[in-house]
Amino acid sequence: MRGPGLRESFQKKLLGSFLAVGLLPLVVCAGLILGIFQSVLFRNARDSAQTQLDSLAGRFDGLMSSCGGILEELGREELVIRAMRGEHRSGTQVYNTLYSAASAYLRDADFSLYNAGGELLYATSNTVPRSLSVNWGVLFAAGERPGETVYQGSEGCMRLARAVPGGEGAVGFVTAELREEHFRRLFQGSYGAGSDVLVLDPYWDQVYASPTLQDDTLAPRLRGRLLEGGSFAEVGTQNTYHVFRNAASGFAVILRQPKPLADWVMQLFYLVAGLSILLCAGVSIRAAMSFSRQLFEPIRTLNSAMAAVEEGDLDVRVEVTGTDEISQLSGRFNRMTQRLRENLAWSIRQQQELGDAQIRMMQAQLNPHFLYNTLDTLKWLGKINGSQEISTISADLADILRRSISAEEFVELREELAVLERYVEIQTIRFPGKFEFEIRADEGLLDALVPKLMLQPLVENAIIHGFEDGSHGRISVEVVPRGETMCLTVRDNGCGMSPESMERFLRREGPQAGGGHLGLYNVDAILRLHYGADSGLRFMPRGGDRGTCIQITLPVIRREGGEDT
Amino acid sequence: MKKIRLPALLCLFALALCACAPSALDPALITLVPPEEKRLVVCTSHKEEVYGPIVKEFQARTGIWVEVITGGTNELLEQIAAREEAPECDVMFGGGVESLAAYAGYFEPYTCSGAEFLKPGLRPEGDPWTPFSALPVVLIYNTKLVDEAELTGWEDLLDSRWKGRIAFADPAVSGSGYTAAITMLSCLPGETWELVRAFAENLDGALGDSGDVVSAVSGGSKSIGVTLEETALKGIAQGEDIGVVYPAEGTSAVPDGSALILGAPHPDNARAFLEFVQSTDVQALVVSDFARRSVRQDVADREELPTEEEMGIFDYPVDWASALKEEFLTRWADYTGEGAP
Repeated sequence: MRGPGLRESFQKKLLGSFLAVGLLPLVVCAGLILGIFQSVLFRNARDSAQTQLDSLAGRFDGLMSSCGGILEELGREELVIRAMRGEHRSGTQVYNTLYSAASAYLRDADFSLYNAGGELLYATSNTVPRSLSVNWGVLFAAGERPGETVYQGSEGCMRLARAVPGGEGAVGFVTAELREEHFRRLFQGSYGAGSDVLVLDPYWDQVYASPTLQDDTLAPRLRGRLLEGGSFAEVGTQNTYHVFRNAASGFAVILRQPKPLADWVMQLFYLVAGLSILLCAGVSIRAAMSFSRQLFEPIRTLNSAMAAVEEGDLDVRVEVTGTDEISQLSGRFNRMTQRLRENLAWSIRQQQELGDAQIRMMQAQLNPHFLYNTLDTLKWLGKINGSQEISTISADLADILRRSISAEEFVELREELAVLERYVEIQTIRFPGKFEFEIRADEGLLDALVPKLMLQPLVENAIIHGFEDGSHGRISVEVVPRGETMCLTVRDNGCGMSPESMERFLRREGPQAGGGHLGLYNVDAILRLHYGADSGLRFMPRGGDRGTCIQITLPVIRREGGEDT
Repeated sequence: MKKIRLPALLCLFALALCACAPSALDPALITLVPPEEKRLVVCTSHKEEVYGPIVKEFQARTGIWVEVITGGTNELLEQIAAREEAPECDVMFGGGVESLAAYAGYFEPYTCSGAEFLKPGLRPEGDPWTPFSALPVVLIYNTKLVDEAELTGWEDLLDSRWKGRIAFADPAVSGSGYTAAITMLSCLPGETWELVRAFAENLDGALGDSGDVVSAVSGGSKSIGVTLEETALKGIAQGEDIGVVYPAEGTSAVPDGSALILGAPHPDNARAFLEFVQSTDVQALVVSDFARRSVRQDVADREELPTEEEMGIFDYPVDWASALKEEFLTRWADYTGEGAP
């Protein structure tokens, strides 16, 4: 069925157009707005993060270099060196030196002096360890690198240490220690609420995390990402990470900033955009469906009506509801089926009439047999009774009758001439001595096909009209080949056709009432029908002689299987 | 019209996606990523309190970034065996010598510079691994429930007096439980399987985790127990009510070790790590901070602890232990009733 296919493609096209018109602008707008919105927000956030990070970095750098400077200064103090050697016993003097050197940074770090064995001598705070191993950790590192400040992180605190040289090896160590409270004070106010700060040692182990950062695993995860060389974005999608590395210590300060738009907000945006698109798509589909239904329903009705007509049901009618194009089409369809119906009725009638004629013809065919038999009986009666003429006429008439009612339209010239002879024989008995008859036919043309009973009416015309005046005449029939055609000529020396009749004939006005020359008209009509409008009878001038000369030119056609020239 | 607008639309989408697509590491951070020659991957079955300070100090001293992969000894060794073609790890740090011996084929022998200072008997033949610390097996008792004189040695574990009151880690589950069982079998006279049967019957149920022994004894649900000296000393340091008895018959001190993995991606750094863990600095830490016994002769154990001679330390029969293991576990299951249908 073509119905569903038609509907489908039609609907698809409609749907495509509706979707394109409905969705494209929406999608483009939504994409653009979301993209611009996001990129502006993210750029702002990045700028703000950079500002915060710069502030954090500035403070950290400043403190590191200040502490380094204080340690270096303390390490040069003669009093400190002597105290480390145990030569100086006055604690207050050493403390004074220590506090005055560290005066500006007493709240930013704890400064301590350790002897060569790692025992605590003096400190600005009570919380620093009483002793530190010199074979391990920061003092070991400081001892390995005299004249340098070394930085190490351990268990939530950052230590700066510097070996104080004196004689062989170090006489002691000056250290600065930054613990959680120091870092908190250092970074206070330099990063926004919601952001967090991490301080990592050179190998990215956590030293400090701002109090709001509750995630112990963050530092290890960041370290893992760094070692993999991957983006920090995968550590946590809610935040962005900004890293600053202090060159002197190798420590890293990491600012964790929440994304300006939490993922759920973005998801909400996407969801809303997606839902709008879906809604729009739904409306488009709905509109396309209803529109196509509206448009398609009449077409479908028409289509099925046409299918019904195709199946032969001509009584189908389409209801015409409006004045639009489809309705006009429906109206035309209705008229068309009506015409078809009428045509059909007419041809049925024709067919019936034809059938009737055939029946009549078949009934009529009964008669010839009866006629033959009767004529045959007559022939024999004639013979028995010694009336040769009755016998001849009966035999001739039977022969003519047989040939004239045969179904064939064309017969061989030989047969046509035989019929003609039979006819003439009858007429000779009717009008004894009235005319002479002669046939001259080219032997090679005897098997050519000619229309049946074509010559007989011409001869009849000559006998009946040519010798009306009672004169003795002569009729000749001549068949000669002329190129690829043959020429049949019927000539008489009777009184000829009256000029009026001739004119009438030439104008093809049909025979006069009363039936004069009816045979000529018929032959002319048959020839024209068979061979074309130019192939009728031709009247040839007889010159000085009286009478009529009628000529017919026919193509030489032989029976199938014969030569067709 | 559609054909022009569709690509444009796709471009817009791509732009929108780019805005939130994950990017590679910030270029500014790439300079912070350590190069391959400054990296080391350590597989360790130690607890973080053990490997943490060592790794930290190693990093500080060498500038090498250490990635630590933690897990159970057998789990890690199986991983190493599975990745034999392309090892991820450089060093296996931790694991008893029994386990290490079983996987010796996956290690590259390395002789540390201080190998001659190792205590006799701890250095493996051919140096497939380097011993890290020695872990004597000791008996513990609840100081409230048991008099110190009541517990003297391995023989007491077969005494029906303690039936059902012994905390012992199931050898089928715990490596240290099996070590303790083999140590006991080595010290007591008699037919091996008879001893196992007698012990299993007297035990009347083993603990699933070696970590539970101390808590079971100090909590009083068991009266005496078998555990490692390290675990016992840590328990005491944390104030648990337990006392340590060194068995009169003597005991074993099975070392754990570290090994260089064959085909390690960073072999030089791995060797540096092996050198470091058996250096005197780390060995001193093993004694002072981890309550373990050093493997070096030149690092003294804690003064308050009995010396190895006093403990009667004998060489742990590694080969016998591994040969026996399968049958032992089958029979153990029978004797403890777990194997019964």
